[in-house]
Amino acid sequence: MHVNEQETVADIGSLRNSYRRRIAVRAVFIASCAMVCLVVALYSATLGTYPISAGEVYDIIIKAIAGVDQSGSTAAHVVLQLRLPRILGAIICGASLAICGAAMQSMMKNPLADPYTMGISSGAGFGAALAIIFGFEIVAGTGIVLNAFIFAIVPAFVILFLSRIRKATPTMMILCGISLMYVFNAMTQLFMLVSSPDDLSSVYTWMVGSLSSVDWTDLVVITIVTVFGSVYVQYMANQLNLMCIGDDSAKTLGVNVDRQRLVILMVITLVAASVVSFTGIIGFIGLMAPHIVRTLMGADNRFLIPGSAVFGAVLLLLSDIIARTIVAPTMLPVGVVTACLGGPLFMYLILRNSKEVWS
Amino acid sequence: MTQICVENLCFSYDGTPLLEEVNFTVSEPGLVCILGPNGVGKTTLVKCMNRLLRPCSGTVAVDGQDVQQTPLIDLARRMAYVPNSMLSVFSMSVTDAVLLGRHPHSGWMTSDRDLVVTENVMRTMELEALADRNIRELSAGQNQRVMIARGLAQEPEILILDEPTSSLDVRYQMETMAFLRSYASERGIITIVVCHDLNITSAFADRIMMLSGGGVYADGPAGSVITEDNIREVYDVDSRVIDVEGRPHVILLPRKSNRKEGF
Repeated sequence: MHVNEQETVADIGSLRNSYRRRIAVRAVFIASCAMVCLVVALYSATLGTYPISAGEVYDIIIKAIAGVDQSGSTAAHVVLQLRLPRILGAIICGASLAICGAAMQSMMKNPLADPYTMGISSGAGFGAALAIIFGFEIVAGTGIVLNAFIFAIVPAFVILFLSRIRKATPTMMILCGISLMYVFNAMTQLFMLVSSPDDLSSVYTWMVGSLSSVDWTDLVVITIVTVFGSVYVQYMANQLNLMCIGDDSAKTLGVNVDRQRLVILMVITLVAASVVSFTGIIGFIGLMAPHIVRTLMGADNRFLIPGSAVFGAVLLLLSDIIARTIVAPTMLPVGVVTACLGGPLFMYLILRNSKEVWS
Repeated sequence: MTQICVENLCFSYDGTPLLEEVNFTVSEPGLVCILGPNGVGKTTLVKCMNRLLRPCSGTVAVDGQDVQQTPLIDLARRMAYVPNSMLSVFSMSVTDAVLLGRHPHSGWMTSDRDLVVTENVMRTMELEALADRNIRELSAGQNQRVMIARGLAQEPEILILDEPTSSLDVRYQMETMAFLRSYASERGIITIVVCHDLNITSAFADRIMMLSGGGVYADGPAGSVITEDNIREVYDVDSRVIDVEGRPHVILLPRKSNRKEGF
């Protein structure tokens, strides 16, 4: 071992080249996932009881973007008002759940973490049950959405409050989330015991998660929140990388772990809660997409986050196609498909991968 | 020239005092080793120095600036810490692990300079052959070399290492300590190492601080600190200290029968 600063740059090209090459491979993967996403989206718009070809879909979308009035056309109505919001909803929700999952896993140093780890899903479920069963609305006229959103962010605020009393470690956060989850679930179940069969069915449907009710206004809200959230998480990618290797190491490398973890938690909670409040609890995407992407291109969050986003979008898009077509004309809630499809696929990938990607 | 100054530092865990009124200043570049028996507070002391722990009272100042008042990122640009071991939940290549050391200096993207520095320190720590290996598959000794490389990649003015040779074999122990000493003098940086092996420390340290009873018991060059009397007082062990190539060398002696046996 010796100090030698005299190395010429040509001498040390090997690491630089291999590093740049790996980055290029990851970029190609992300770009190809995005292409697949686009093609699948176009194909998805042709599916349904009203027959429309891919070419027509393309024309209709181009015309709509150009601002041509198509109000007379049934095909245009079907594509623009019925199918497109749902397809875009699948893309945006899949991407944002996957981003939240990737960030949550890195930040908590826990491969089991997902966007719902902090009790977001059970909080949202409680809020939705309140609205459906008792007609209770926090802000009158806003229905399920605002109720679900407000109760979904309760756990994060409880943790924020507790962090003033003692340091919010990942373990403390997760245990806190779990205990709130039990409380919310217990109360939701109590409500369901006393509810009418119709309400019960609506609550169940909501809890499985579905894209069928997403419309253009919902989409605007979800998209704005997701874009802001993902830009922030992407900006924090290097800090997330450091959080994976332990708090002491991260701090001595310049990351204020305790504060940063809370801030990222708040951002993830807001993003996941806004998605959940419009679609219900779509499970598994947030847990699965980051893990699959990690096995394919490593755990560096700078690439894991965009990679998970496009992969999550494709996954949810495909699940939505299956949900719409498998027992057509009946549409399944997409959450059923993600879970039924995701479970075995995930297990296959874990078994196939001889190298352990996480412990 | 960088200077780190510890003044009246006290630290207690849950009300039990561990460090009481620790005072010292390091202003000369070189290899400073901290010795002392288990639980005396060696690691606690260095963690107070790099802001991982907040002392109950007293200050640690780098060039007159209190580290508790210094933002972590500014501190990370000047001071690196090499913990005893690193665990990552998710897989990470050795190259990526060493590259993390560049975080305080680099922007969002990895620059060519980051990669050049990384490649240099990896060669220094003989890690080139392991570059693409997953750090979770490494042996404890290899992991420790990755950690040291990460600390070097940080290009610090003050490098703090917590028992950096505890998992290394004798060859790497000797080489690492020799390297740390020459690196410190060539770069003109302060390197503070928590040690446990008296002879390795004695052979390479420019200055040794022996902790005992919550404070610095002895402080100085190896010749004045590693003595039979000090070792008996601090470790409660009998020894004979001989001279090997100008450095004290400790030979531990079995306990005599007039002392109480066992624990």
